[in-house]
Amino acid sequence: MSKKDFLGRLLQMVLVLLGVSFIAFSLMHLSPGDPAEAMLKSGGQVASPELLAATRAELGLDRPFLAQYGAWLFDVFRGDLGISYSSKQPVATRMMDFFPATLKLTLASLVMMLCVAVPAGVVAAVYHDRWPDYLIRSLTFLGVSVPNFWVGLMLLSFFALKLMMVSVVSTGQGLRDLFLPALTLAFAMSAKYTRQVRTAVLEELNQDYVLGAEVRGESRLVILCREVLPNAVLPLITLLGLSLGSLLGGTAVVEIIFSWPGLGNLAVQAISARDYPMVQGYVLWISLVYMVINFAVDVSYNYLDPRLRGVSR
Amino acid sequence: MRARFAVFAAMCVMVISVALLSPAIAPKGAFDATMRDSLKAPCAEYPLGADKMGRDLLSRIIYGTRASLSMSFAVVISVSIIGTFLGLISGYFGGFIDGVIMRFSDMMIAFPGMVLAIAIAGMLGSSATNAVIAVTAVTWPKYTRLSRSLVLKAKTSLYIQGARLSGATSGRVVFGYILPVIFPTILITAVTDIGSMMLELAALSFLGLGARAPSPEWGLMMNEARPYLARAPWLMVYPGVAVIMVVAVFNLFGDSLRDMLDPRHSG
Repeated sequence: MSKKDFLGRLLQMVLVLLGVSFIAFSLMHLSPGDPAEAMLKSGGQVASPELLAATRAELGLDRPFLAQYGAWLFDVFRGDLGISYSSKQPVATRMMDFFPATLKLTLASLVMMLCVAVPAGVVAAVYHDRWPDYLIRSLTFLGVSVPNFWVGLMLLSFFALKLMMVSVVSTGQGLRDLFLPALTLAFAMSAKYTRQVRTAVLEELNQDYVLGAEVRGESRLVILCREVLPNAVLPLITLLGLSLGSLLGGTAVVEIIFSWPGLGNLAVQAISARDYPMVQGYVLWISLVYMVINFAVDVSYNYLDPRLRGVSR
Repeated sequence: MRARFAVFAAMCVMVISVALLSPAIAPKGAFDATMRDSLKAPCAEYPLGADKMGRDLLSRIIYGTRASLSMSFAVVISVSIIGTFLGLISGYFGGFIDGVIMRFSDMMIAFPGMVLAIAIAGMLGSSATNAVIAVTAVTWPKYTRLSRSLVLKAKTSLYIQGARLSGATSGRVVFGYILPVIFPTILITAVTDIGSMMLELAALSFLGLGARAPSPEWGLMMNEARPYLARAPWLMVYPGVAVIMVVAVFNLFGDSLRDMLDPRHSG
């Protein structure tokens, strides 16, 4: 990717991010309730009209919408996401406390998913339309039809209640606690990704160069490892970036089930407590992470594919 | 291929008739509580057991088909209409309006879908309608992009140019000539999406951000079953099995529809 393309893409991302911040900020105004009232209530105070008016003024809610947004955005740029209504701590601090657990969970499930999906997808493609392919396809089919929270609860009831192997409430520490939530999250993702790996490898296997290599008498295994897989990796990286989105969304559900002390758990609690700054911060932060990852994927894609490198110069 | 399609179509019809005829099929009412039978294990009177209020789980699952189907159909229909309409305008007219619509959909796509859906549903307050709105709000850009790209392709065809030259109005070209051509692809996408929409809606209800108690909705029923996971596991198992079965039926139906209408995709 040339420097110009890179900067263009970066600029585009910043613009989209501005829009994203606007949507995240507007979320608060979707709510039928009054934020000032919500804040007072979560603090356990009685909302008298005078107190309400004072709180509204303090939060800047009496100002026009765009002025509020501008002030909020200005603070966000300085890393200040506001103060959480329920915990009275800065949102940014709270999120940084909970983020490592989510990151750990996401990465662990990503690794698990790759360990399952890549071999399964390759096997399905190589044995195209024979029994291993049918078996793997049926399994992935089942995988995409199962709600992940149900899988989580079934695993929990089996391992924690029947076998007493893990505790029901996880602390977010240690590998034992990590295993079940990560497995749950990896479950549905592996099904989707196996299909994508299969399609990508199948596409490469149908290319002329594979036929050529076969004619030259190279063994299938050599062709697969040396030529097909490196080529199939490219589209798979892009898809991986996109799957991260569903992974990040899935964490909320899984974290709740396993009482995992992560961002998703924090966000759902914030929603039920009408803790608006927290919700805004969560949406903004997750979108930022997601966009940066996809941006990195875009850039690496251009870097990894020599054909694209040639074009942009 | 047609036989496969017919089988899955018949299964879909069965699921839909279960939803429509639930009062006739269900052995008991969805709200008939008998506190004496609270958390009763599966037995002759309660084939799948009873919940904490002593309501028959089987009946509630049968009634739950209604909520699940109506919510997912509502989402799929509204995203196809909104998304396709915006995509048609965007692709056909291009220029400024195209830019506005596409940038807006870029923004919506920049969010991981479920995260935004959780936030929207949470902010609007929990109800089945709000869950539908939330999932719709994060899903339409997919249809807009799809239909826009299809319009751009169709626009260059000779028959469209012919229609324009013979003086057809923009509205007539878009709805009379372009829409029928892109419709099958949109339909396939919509049908294959029913299953995943169902899962997303169930997840929202499970988080307490969708259907509200006491309505029989599968995600909500599983949410209510959580505290009794050890004492009454059937409350968790069967609604989940119901979701899996119905989602699988619609996924199979969608796949077979795609294979039939678009043979390139098969295999």
